[in-house]
Amino acid sequence: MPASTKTAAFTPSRVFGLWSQVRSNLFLVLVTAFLLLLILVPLVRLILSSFQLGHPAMPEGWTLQNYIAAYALPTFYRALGTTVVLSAVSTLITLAIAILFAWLVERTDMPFRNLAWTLILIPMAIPGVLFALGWALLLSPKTGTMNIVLRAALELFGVRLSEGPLNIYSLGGLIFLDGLRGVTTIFLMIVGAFRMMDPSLEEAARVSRASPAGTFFQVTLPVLLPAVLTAGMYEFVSSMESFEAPLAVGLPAGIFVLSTLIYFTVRLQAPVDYGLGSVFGVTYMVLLLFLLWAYRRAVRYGERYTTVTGKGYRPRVIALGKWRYPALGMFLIYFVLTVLAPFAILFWASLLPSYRPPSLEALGVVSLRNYWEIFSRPHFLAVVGNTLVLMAIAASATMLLAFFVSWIVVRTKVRGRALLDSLLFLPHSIPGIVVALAMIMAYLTPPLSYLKIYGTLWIVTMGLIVTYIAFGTRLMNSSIIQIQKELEEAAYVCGATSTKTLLAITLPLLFPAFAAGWIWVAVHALRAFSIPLMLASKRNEVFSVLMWQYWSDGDVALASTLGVLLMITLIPLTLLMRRFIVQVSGQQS
Amino acid sequence: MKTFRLKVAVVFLGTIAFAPAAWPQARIGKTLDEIVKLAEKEGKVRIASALDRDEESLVFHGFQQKYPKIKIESTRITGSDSREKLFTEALAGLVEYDVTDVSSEVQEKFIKAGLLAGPFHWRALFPNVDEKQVSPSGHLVAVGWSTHIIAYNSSLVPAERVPKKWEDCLDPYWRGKFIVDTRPKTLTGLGVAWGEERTLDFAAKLKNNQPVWKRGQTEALTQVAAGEYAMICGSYYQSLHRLKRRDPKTKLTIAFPPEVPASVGEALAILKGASNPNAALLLTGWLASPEGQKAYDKIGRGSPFVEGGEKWTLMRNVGAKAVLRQWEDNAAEEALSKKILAVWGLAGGAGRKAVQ
Repeated sequence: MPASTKTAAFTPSRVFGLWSQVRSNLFLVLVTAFLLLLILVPLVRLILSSFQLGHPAMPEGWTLQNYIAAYALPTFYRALGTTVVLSAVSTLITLAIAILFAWLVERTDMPFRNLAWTLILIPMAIPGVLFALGWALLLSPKTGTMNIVLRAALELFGVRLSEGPLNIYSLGGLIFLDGLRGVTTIFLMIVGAFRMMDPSLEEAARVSRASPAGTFFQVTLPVLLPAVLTAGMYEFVSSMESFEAPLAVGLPAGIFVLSTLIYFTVRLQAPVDYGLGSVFGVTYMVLLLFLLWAYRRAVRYGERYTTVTGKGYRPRVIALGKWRYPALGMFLIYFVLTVLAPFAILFWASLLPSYRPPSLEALGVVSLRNYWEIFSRPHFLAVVGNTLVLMAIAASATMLLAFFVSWIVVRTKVRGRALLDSLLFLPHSIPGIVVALAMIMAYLTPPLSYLKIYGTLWIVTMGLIVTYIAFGTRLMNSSIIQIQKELEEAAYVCGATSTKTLLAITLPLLFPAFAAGWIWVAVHALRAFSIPLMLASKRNEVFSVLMWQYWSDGDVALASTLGVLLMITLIPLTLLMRRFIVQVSGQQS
Repeated sequence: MKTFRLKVAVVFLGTIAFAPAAWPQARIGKTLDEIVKLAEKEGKVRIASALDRDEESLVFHGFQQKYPKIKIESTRITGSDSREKLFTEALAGLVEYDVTDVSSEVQEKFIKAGLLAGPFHWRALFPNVDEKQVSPSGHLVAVGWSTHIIAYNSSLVPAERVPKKWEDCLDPYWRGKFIVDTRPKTLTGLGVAWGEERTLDFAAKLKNNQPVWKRGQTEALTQVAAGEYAMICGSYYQSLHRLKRRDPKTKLTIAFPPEVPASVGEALAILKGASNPNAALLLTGWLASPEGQKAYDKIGRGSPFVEGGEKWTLMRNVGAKAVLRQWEDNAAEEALSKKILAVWGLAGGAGRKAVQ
């Protein structure tokens, strides 16, 4: 580049030109700056902290030794290996169940399919930590209720065991919990593909006298493979981020995964080690970013394997014959395992002064005293208030931000909007535990420490916004595309400003999508665990954190009482969310 | 107009940036009488300690009778994680308590960061407080004592296997059936009696016996009481005492080995910026006094060195001897703690140096 051109870059006219560009795109600049503050600054701070010794707020110098120490630690490799094994095996289990359920619901004459839909959706209402705690009470090797029943049954056959036969505090236990947890999401991801696939190949197989099972494995499944693989990869990434079950049943057994290793290093272990925790966090983030990249590549070429064609006829329904009711029975078993059994044991525990397995003798001490005790605790109302405020603000802020950003990305032609869209997708692959750790690092050190939001409800809210913004923008992007641009243009012609048009025309038209997103974020904020737990202080404690505190303090009864109350709140909200999502799907299809 | 907006912005940002420095500090009395007057005027004290609800009523009862005008708001904090969180919150300018329990791992950090009020002349204000209870810096006062023992479930441990010494934890019979806390306070305490080499050797042998690693005492003891595991090699006497108070029929039993590590389990300090510093001083002084210490003895947190105390009596009966880790040993304790964690292969054990 010639020297004269270089100089020209700094002329007053160029600077003025830049300023006028900033002014004309002020809205975009402000939104981008806010998002950078929200997402990138904490992540950069986390990376910096991984090169520092000491407490992030009182660093003792720069070093590479955090990395050397972390990568020399056998526990790190064990945790990494366990994370991968856990994710891979539980993904296979999840996929197998979800594919079977999707096939039964969409392609067979199984009775009560609407009921089956509800049975498979309700588990979404059960927070992961409660699910794990429920199963900890059911399958503890010695005192677990199911183990006691199994031992009694085995004794009838002359087999005497002093413990087990099952143990939830094991890798197998973790796989069981993770495998069951993901089914609902994967079912929702693949059920559409089952509904809309081109049935001509199946028909051809049938004409060639292939059996129903042969048709399923040799035709249906290969045709749906791209959709299944995409869902599988999504589930694998989700399992890699799993925190609740590994914390509740993995850690007590000394089984670490990456998320619990971070929590252990920066919260539980004494002395805590932020430098090491940051290295684990950065490594974990890089690993998941790589997986996200692979996932997006897989999705990008998805259209090559199109299985949904324009042919307007429904696939033939497969008759199950005598297997119709056993098929429905599988949904009932799934519901019992994911909702009813954990709920029942937690409800039982909530009625006791201290936990003991169900028995006639224990019935004598059953009472509602714990519910009275919970409501009479002065701190409880503050925690309920915090939870509701967090839920409302996180949901509203996430969806409003998503709405504005999606409008910029979809409707405007400003430069950098694609980058903005990508920036918002980034947190999708960052585990909650790493987001929380990054927020701690960022808001304890200048310049963000001057905002003084560490320890308040605001920092938890911001953590949740970072986590849910990717979902919000995906939903709003696809919804804004559905709305005719002419409606907005008509408003401009009538002299309305951009803001007025957005608020009076676009937002009301997007209400169903906005409401669906709002409820989705609200439900997830209500059951959120890793971020509130990591960022918890006396001021910002929420329901799930208080519940965990009781549990880890050995107060199973009070923890269970809170768990039951949380489930009772979440189940109707989840069903309401389904209604709105069905409405949005109806609009978009 | 633009200049006006700029000025408003500068004032606003300046207020945010320098707010902590501008916070008014409450006046602290010079004599006990003055402190009592000011404390009664403050009317309440917010304390964060390891006491649970039942223990609070047992411990604070005497203070409430003596100073009925001062209301105590107590919050339970347990484990090193809650202390670390409290430290981080204090760094961020959140002062939620007037007086707090500062565990040995974070004492130096609190002092170095200037987050504690004082130092105070505790013995001048409260002459009946033992000299050993006051930290060398004068910021902290010991009120509760941790005593490390072996806890076991009597229905799972045969009489001939009842542990009598620490080395009994290495018996292959217990492989995979006993719990060890990953916070190695028991072992660092043993380090005082045994020295580093023997302690690290014991740590390695303990690891080889495949213990079930746990962090935190209450959950671990609950599981031993429920029969999930047989024994905890290194538990707190006070945690076991609490569970026994709650459930007198529990099968949890204590074994005192010949060397019983003891350390300050609850060191109280007044936080800088506390809104009720006089009430906090008064409460701390009372808790450290013989009257307060008797209350602590009732909940298993009394000193094992006070003749006639519960622990002292129990230990004398079996010929066990308490080994005290002193205030000054915190740095050595942290160093040994890291070495033990390294032997166990757990995070936090690696020693590192900054680039100079």
